[in-house]
Formats: sequence, structure tokens, C-alpha cells
Amino acid sequence: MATAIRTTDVRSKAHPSPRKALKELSDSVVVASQLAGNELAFAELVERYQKRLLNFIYRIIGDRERAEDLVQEVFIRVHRHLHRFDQSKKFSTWIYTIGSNLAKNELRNRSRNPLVLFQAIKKTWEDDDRPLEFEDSRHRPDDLFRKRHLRELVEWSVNQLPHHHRAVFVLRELEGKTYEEIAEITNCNLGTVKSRLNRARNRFAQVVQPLLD
Amino acid sequence: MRCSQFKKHYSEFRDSLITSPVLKREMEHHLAICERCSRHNRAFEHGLYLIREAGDIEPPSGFHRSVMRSVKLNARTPEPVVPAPPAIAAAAMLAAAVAVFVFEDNTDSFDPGAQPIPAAVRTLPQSVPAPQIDMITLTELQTFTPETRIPETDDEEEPADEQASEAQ
Repeated sequence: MATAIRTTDVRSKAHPSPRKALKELSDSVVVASQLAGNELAFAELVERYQKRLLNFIYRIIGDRERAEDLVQEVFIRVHRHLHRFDQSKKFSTWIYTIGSNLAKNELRNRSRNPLVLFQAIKKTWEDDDRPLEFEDSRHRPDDLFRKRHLRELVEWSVNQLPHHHRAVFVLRELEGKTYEEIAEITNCNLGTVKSRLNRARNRFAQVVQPLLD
Repeated sequence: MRCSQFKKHYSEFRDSLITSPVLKREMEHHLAICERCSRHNRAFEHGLYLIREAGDIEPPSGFHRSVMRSVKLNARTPEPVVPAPPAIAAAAMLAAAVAVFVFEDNTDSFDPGAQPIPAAVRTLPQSVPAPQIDMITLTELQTFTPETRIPETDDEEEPADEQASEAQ
């Protein structure tokens, strides 16, 4: 019995499943595999980027449900236009550009349609009104409250930034992108990125300071 | 160094992108002596720490499956035709108007070999004599009284048999 298990183990190491094999490959190889017709490769790209994109878009638009919809839309567009992607460039930059554009459109539509903005705000109220069910009971309630309160304050501070500053701020501070990558994602020149980032950082410090003092 | 100058270079300073050693030293010195800028910097770092500490949000369970399903659903449907935004439509109309103007201008340009365009022939209006109308002078109008009115025509005379019965 033990010998049988060991044999299976060795076989699985020698021939890992296609999914596991994809996990070890770089983005560009996975993209090439998808373009060659391997649908598992696309599932791997979704696996790699779903959480990162969800957080990126959520931090820009501040509405979780809408962020989930937009992430779906990003992947639909990626799937549809992958053949147009210039493979000499970074896939992550390309997918973030699509996400950034969708988030920008969302904010633009909201500013044009106050009803959409109201619905987004209302959704947040409803979340706040919901009782704290299924929270981890190992943590003390006052700790949870404090943590949640601070998180809300800081998220609120980020939302005080103008949206083009917010995108640059999130990309730099939370996604760890380089200035060049940010310039490509936001379709701006390097000087604009630097100036927006400086304004965003100063503004963030200014907004957050009275809340933390 | 002033606080405004410190804030101007704050981002580059944070990312260690200041190449001038003099400016870098000035920034460090200002941060050490200026209470206001020092608080500004501390607030920034604390705020950033809290955001990072709060962590990421997790996609809901089944999100991956849901994404894959919508990708497959949308894979065969053609891309919807997006109507042109008003600005683009206006620009297109303007371009069309300019094109028409330029085209018209070209057709009107002087061509020495071209045949002269004959003048348009217009017929003069024909005078038609007015129909005969009985005119009345002003003095006749002034002397006009109900008694001088035009006598009633024969059509309005009473029938002959009625006159006869009255005579009887």
C-alpha cells in the first residue's frame, strides 16, 4: 500500500497536472499558451489577477459589488482582445490599464448620474447597518471595531483624493508599480505621474493627519 | 528651506529619487528641525501603514467560476456597436460641413477656358386690364341715404296670384 502511494507521488512529481504546471510559468508564457488555444491558461490568468484587480478597482471606486462587476468586465475584454496584446510588453501593465480605464469610466458615469452615486453610497450604509455576524470570535469586539473604524477612516482619506490622483497613489503605494508602469497604465507622461503622485501624497497626509492625531 | 519647498520635493524624497546631494541634505535637515513637516511625514507613514495593515479584500467564493462563465458567454457574442458620443458626432458633422464648403469652393474657382454660364431669362409680368367696376365718387357717397339705395330687383317682387288675391 505504502509502496503504491509512494509510486503515485513520484509520478505526480514527474508529470505535474497541467494546472500545476501553468502555475509555475511566467505571465508571458501563460498568455502564449492561451493564444495557442489552451483554455486552462486563461483560467490561470484569472486566478493570478482576480484578487489584485478587485482590490485595485475597489480602492479607486470604493464600491465592492461594482468592483466585482468591473473585474468580470476586465477579463471579458482581456479574453476578447488578447490576440491584440503586444507580447513584448508586460501583461500585468496591460490588464491594469484595462482595469484603470474601466474604473475611470465608472467614476465619470457616476459624476454624470447622481442616482448611481446615491445607490453606491446607500449600499455602503446598508453594509454598515448589517449586524456583525460570522465575525471571528477569537478577536475582541473592541479590537475589531477599532480596526474597522481605522480602516474606514483611511479608506475615506484615500477617497478624498481626486480620482486621477487616487489611481496614481494606489498604483504606487499599494500595487508597488514603477513610475514608468504607472505612466503606461494611466496613459500619462512621466512628469505628470510624478506631479500627481506628489500632490496625492501631500493631500493624503493632510487629510489623514487630523484623524490620527 | 521652506515648508512649501519640502512639500514640492516630498514625493521624490520618499522614493529616494533626489539626485542632488545638496537638496537631499537640505530635505533631511528640514525634516529634522521642522515640527510641522515632521508631523506631515509621520501622518503619511501612519496612514499608509493602516491601509496596508487593513489588508486586501478577498473575492467572494465562486468568483473565479463566475468570471469564467461570463467570459465563455461573451466569447461568441460580437462586440456591441457603441454609438458615437455627442462630441465625436459634432466633430464629424463639422468635418462634413467643411468638406462640402471646400468642394463647393473648388467648383466655383475661376476657369479661363470654361464657357460663360448664360444669364437666366426671366419674362416680364403681363399686365391684365382690371374688370369693369362701378365706381362711386366721394360726393355720391356723402349724399348716400337709405332712401337712395338701389331698388329691389324683380326677383323679389310678390307673385302675381298673391297680388290678385289682395285686390279681391
